[in-house]
Amino acid sequence: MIELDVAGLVVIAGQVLGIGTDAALSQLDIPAAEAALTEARLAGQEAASAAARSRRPGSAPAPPHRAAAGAATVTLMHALLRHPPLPGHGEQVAAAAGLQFLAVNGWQADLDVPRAAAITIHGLASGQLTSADAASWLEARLSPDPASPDRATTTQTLPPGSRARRIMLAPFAVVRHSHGSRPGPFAISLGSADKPAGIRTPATGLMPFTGPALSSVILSGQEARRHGQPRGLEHILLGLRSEVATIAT
Amino acid sequence: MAEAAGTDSGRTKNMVLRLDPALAERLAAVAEVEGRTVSDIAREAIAALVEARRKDKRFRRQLEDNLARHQRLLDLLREDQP
Repeated sequence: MIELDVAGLVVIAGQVLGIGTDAALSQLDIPAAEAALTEARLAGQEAASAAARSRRPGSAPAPPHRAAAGAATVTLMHALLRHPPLPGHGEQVAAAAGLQFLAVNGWQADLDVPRAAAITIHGLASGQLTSADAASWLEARLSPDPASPDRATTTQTLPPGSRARRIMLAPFAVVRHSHGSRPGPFAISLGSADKPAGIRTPATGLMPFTGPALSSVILSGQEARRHGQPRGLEHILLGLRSEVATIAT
Repeated sequence: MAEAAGTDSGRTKNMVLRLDPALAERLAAVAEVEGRTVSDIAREAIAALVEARRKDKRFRRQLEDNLARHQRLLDLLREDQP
């Protein structure tokens, strides 16, 4: 996987903040940048070693897989959020660096609901969302960068049975509930490249989530995992409670 | 690589570089041969790296595409910054 270096970070920060590279370099907290990049590099090396161990002897290294790209991007962003190289602009720089990291590795993120992406980054920064959850969320939104010659010939499909595939291609949960004597299905979707996140019922069709609603659904996944149970209505209620508590504070 | 070692009121910032011994020796040797300070050489190296990345057309194009494509997200993150 192609890594970002401090110089790349300076160019990214200069551009995203609109201050240019000279100002970005003079304002850059180099130790923080180094700490973040080193942390991301070490995590990436661990992942690469694990991939190499699982590779057949003599076979060429594969280009970064969708899941690996998602995980490495979130690791980089998380490290930059914890060690902001330009204090006061941590989330912007982390997001831009993550997007650029994806691009140099032949991937692009289809973030068609910017508010959901912002909530995910806030959640990662505040610790409300784990790196694994954020990586799963991102993985479901990655597609090969058509402008990348390295990637154009290696289009990958989501692995069958993977969590990303379930999120991307099907509603992540279908819960049947009783409404009088008529059971009515509804489906909740975290969204995909061409569909907004929302809840679909036979009567209403798709109703897109607001930002807090989507945040609640994401938090409900954490609650379900914390209790070691499949996601259900009770976890959505717990997610709502967490979201309300966040807004209240 | 480096850690902050204090603040300066002028146009420069004090940093302490943590280098492996071999690299530190090479840096000192270059500085001695060129009759310049180690700081000068380090500053020039960092500036050259940034300049090389800035001139990397593919990197710049990807960055500009990304920032344009995700402008709304970046605006939201800026607005939400505490």
